[in-house]
Amino acid sequence: MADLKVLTVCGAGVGTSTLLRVNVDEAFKSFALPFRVQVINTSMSRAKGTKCDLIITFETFSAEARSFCPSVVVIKNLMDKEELKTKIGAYLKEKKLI
Amino acid sequence: MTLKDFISEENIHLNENFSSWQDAVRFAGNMLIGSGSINERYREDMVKMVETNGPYIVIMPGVALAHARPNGNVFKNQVALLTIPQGVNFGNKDNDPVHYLFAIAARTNKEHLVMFKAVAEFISEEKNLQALQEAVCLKDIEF
Repeated sequence: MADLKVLTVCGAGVGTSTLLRVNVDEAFKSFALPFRVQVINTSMSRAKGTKCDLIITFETFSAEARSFCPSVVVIKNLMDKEELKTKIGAYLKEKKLI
Repeated sequence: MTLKDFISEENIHLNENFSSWQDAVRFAGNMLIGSGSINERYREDMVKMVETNGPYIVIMPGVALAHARPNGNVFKNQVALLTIPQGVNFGNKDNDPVHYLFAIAARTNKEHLVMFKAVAEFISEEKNLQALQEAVCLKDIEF
């Protein structure tokens, strides 16, 4: 199984996406997957065109993210770890990864 | 590192209402300018961030984290905090209105994360937001 490449995306790529990366990393770890998950935080302007499996971001960036990434998860509440886990779980199930 | 390492009395303002989110962000920015933490460019960059990218900085119900890329306009790692009893709308349908605005100024991207984590830790505790809501003076808040 190849690595899963995940981008967390925000506007500046320094604050919110980094915090999101930390929480996303944690959420993926809780699934104890048999493959490596690489999570990278970035800004939308840098993310554009980057090859990736999944983008986790906020509503305001979702349309743009969908234009170049096959899967996009939209987060409403960055602090809600359950929301993150549920949505990542749904993605993994949809892709038959769990 | 916790929030109290980055927040000082001069950068906290309780119970102020605003007619627009821009006014609120600029107010927080002005506190940071007053404490020698940033210059006007960073303050305006925080406003531009939302104008350009949308209201995603409202990261959870009632809480906004204003910030921008440092670009040499940040001199001290500081957080400004504003409580807004009536709330102000940023246009985020899930998390408006904002009652707690944190403006985060970090000199480098690396320090940004440390500070974001410190703020995240603080706001993830329900009792801290409760204390902010009820606070009439700084002594009412434990950072």
